[in-house]
Amino acid sequence: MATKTKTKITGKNFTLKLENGRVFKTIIETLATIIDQVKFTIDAEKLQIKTMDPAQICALQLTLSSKYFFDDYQCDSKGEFYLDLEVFDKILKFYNDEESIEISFQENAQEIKIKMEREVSLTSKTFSLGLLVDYNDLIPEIDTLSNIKYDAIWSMDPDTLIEAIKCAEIYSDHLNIKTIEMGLIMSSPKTRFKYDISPEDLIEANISKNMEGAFNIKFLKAIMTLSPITEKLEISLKTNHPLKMIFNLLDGGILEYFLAPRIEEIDLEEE
Amino acid sequence: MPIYREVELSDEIKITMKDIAEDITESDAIKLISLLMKKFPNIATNLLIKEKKKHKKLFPESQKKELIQNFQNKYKSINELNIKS
Repeated sequence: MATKTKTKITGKNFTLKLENGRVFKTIIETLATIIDQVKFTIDAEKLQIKTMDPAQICALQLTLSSKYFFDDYQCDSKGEFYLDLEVFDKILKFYNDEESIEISFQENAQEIKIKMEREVSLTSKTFSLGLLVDYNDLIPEIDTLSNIKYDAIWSMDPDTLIEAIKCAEIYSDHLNIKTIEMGLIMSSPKTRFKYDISPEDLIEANISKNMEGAFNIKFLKAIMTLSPITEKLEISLKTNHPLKMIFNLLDGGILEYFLAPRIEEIDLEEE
Repeated sequence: MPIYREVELSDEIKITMKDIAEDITESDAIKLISLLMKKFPNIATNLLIKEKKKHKKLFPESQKKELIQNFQNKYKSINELNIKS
């Protein structure tokens, strides 16, 4: 639940470098649509975010591995810091393709430096991003969420899900998802739109029970802006449980996204 | 997230819904276009929607409290769900 937190990075300095920052830029751009401020946790193995949206409808965990995601990673001790994602996103808007990105922290300055540099000419832009000192901490119970056992799990082309979302949005603010023996049904209320997806059109499917849930389209659309940088999308569904989406991102990033279902009683009243 | 739409009703008439309708959703836009077509059946012959892709915040500061309440009325809180497997 929400608690006020003061932030200060303690420990040693860090420097993270990406030869190409396109994937990182897209990640920050996507997260900035859902959340305003976020806590980054850093250690020798990874840079990580665990957070929820202000309404606590979704929870997410982003893990960027020091070994696979970054081209250079120097961090000897664990630290945590809070940043304004909106400002971070504004800075990254000035990133141009083919530039490298270097993110560094000097303990005495207590601010993040973001440097974008062209490899050929060594022309560079450097931005400072101050740490947030007063923050409403929304920490989700990711471990509990990750331990939920799902009986309907499948991988699918992100573009198919995006198409279903856009079609359902004509009629409603939420998308119904139902698993059946013959695959999946994505629909809008009263089945004014229905998308039957056969198992052959799923990349992988392990559906042992019929499950269903209704999920907010704005939250689905917001996270699906990751699709251009998604290598694999795995979705798990369980009735009266959060929808679980695991995005295996390019360059080895992993984002787990949990989206709470719509309250059924409201749905029935409206229909 | 669509925040910019250009609706071309004919070669001569073009309506740009920018600034005045930043929060318009796709379904609202379709309803609006349908209404325009009913009101102006003679000119609504060449309907075109162009959409510029732009990311929009789920919780803009001006509507934050209202949106949070609205979502909490309709959806279960992620931490309060009975999530025992």
